[in-house]
Amino acid sequence: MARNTRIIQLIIILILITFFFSGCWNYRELDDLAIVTGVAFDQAENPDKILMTTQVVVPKNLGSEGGNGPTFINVKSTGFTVMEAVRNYNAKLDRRPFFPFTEIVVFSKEIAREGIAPYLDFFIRDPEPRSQAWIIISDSDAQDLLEEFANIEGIPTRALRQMIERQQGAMSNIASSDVVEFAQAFHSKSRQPVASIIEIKGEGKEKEVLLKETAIFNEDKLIGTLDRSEGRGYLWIINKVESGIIVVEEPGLSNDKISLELLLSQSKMIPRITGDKLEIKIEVSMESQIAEQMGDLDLSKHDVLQSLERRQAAVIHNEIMAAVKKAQDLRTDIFGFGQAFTRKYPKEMRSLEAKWDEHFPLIEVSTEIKSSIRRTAVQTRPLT
Amino acid sequence: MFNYLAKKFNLVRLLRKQSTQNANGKKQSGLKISPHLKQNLETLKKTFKESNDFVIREFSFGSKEEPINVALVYIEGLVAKTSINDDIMKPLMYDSSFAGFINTYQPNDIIAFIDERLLSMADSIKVSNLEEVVEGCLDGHTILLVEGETQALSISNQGWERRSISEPQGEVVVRGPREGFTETLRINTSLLRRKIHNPDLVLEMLKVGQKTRTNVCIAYIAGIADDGVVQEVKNRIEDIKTDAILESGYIEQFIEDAPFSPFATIGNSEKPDVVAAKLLEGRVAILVDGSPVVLTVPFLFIEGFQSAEDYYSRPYYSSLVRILRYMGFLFSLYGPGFFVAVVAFHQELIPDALIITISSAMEGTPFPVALEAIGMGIVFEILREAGVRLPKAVGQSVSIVGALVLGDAVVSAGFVSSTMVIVVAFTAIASFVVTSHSDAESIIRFVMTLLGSALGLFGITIGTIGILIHLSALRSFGSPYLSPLAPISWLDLKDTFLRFPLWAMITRPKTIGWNNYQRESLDLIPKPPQKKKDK
Repeated sequence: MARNTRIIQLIIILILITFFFSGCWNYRELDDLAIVTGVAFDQAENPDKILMTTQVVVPKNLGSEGGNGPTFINVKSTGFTVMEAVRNYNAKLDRRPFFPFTEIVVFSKEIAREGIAPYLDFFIRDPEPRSQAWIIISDSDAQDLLEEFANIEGIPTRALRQMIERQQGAMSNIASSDVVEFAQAFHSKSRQPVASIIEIKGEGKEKEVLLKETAIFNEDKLIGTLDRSEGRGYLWIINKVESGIIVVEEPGLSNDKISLELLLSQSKMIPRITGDKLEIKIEVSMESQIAEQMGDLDLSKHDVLQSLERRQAAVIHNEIMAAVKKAQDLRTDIFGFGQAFTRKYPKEMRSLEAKWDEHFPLIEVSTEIKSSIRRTAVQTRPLT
Repeated sequence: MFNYLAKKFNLVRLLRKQSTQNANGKKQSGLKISPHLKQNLETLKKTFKESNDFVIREFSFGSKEEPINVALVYIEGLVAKTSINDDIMKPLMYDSSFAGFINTYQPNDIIAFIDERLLSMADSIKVSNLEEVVEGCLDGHTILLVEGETQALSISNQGWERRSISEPQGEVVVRGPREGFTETLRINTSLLRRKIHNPDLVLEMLKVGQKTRTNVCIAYIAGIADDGVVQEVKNRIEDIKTDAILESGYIEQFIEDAPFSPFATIGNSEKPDVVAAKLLEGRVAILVDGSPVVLTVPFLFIEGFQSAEDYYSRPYYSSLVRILRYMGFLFSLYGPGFFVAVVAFHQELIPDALIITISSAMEGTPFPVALEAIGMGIVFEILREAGVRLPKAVGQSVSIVGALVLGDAVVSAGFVSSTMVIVVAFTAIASFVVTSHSDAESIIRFVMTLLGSALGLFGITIGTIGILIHLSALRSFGSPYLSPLAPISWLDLKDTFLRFPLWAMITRPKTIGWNNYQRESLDLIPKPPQKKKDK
């Protein structure tokens, strides 16, 4: 009995103690935090320093009880390192910046050309930032992308994130990567990273942003770009095309166009080593439906559809080959061909991997495209 | 801990002394009925301290020369007067003259004759002890004492005011019987009999409470209930040495397995159909005179999630509701605690879109979120208590004030964030889903809120582990409290998270009805009519 009571006393004391731990044990009230939704990096005036711009939301102006003030503010800070710049916010901002809701990380083209790995380390090492933030390369100054532009979301960073994600689902012709994907590609010897480039157009009220093209990185340095059709070529190869419109010309004399809406696509890369020759075959099997025709083709005929299918395959083939050519010219294996070879020929790759940038441009790429048009939507005959 | 305090004040020793004295001082009246009627009546009068509801009606009958003096004693209000008039006094005073009554001088002949030939009452027993006479009176019997006889007749013609059978307020059903137990033990046992037409339904009477001498009835079905459990229930009830048993809750608190646990280890119900179902699963019911709440043991944790209606309606919706009950239970335990933990410690767990809504709602509220949660929890408990105790008309105004003033004004004044009000309000509603465990729910909810605000999810994890350890250590009359979940019994999961169709519930719960395991034949699933194989 006496022992029991002692144990009970002990438990009560222990429970009581726990309530006093709360002070310095990571207890953070939500209204002491500045929620960071995006970060932009530019070159500061002092060439050794970083200019960091963060976008934080102003909760009191958001939500149903929101006021009329600005819904976000951009705060700038400088430092020799990212972490220093982050800490310097405490001298500029009335709340502690809180990074888990960071949705985008923007780099100016200048910085991207010099290499973005030093900046990304913070996002991977620190437990706070989410590693799913999209990496964006800004055509102009990175901080300008965080300024207000025409959007519906109300918060520029959130609008940019939505744009990237929408684009992937609906157009699939600009590649993008988040912090983790970028870091994985950066660490890999046989694959190189890519990112989206966003361009600002117009000024003041007419300012709008545009997802422009795909940036190609060698290690962490920006060395080139893929335009939209090359971008889709890239995505065909890495099996990331989700949807999109393929425009082909009608067979026959007229130059009328037909839009084919992609329904389904699967692709595979099949590497083969014969002797010294490295070959890779891209197998794409895809289905689409006719989304619109501008001419007056009778789509109920089988041979018409067959010829459209052939044209469709040709478009895909061209896109793929254009992307490959661009990458091979830049000697940058953005597709992960190296990885595909490593998986199939681990022994051979051990010697090839060291000088992969020399071997990559020599790879012979071929395509095999299973193109099919499933249906003609709700109309078979032309409008006229 | 209470023991500890009591010891501290030397109470235990003091009380022990007294109780042994009490035990010695008992058994003072083993008095036999004396042949002198007057003397008996004097003793009885003294015993009842001249209370004015104790009635003595003396009269005589028989021949003028040799009248037989008798007395009826009863307590007014407990007996049916018309039956005394018509069935006791009338036969004695009027019919006896036709009965060919011959005075003999064998002792107790008169009593026997009255009992056998004159009295037109169904239920009468002979008693020879004054103590039994007193007890009989108190139970509402009418006692017939006869001059010169050492026996008396205890005639059962109780007739007191009783509440009629009505639908229990606490267990309303849409589909199912509406009748509920009342305060009268006999009616309650009859309700059970009417559900289970079987001589195996055993009803055993005990008297508990040294002052109140309350009738307690143990009901079980011989052949299904475990004899050990029945014996244990009897032993525990017989061991209760207390003044008063005013409600079945008294019994519950004296015999429960885990008096320090927030979780009840004894179930209760006001509905005969529920109790009958539990008896048929092998449980033991304890009915207490004066209480419409019948106790059932053993009580398992999952019984709190079962409702009578689950079995009366078809299994699909019942199963859905069952799952919702578990969800409601979990939410009501963890709601505020989890919310505080996430909002104050683990903001990164909140989805992107939600954090802005939450933080904009929290903007400008003066109190820390932990204090908000605990404060609102207390406010809710106060509101509930106020609403329950007040008369219906006033209770409604309490809920209006509570809902409008506290819910709306507090938010618009910026005292408490609207998300917190939503969380607390939803938790409150969720806590009504599982009523059996609602006491435990409220207590644990507060503990969880405190843990969540002190240690975040770490604290909630610790609390959860603590609860699980506690629950799995509990037993109710020999059955593991968490069964059939722990120890797992796959077959009994038929009636745990889902309610299987009745034709699939072939066995009784393993830990309770194990000695008569099968309750229905296999292959009861309804099928289209089969072609009969004719001869």
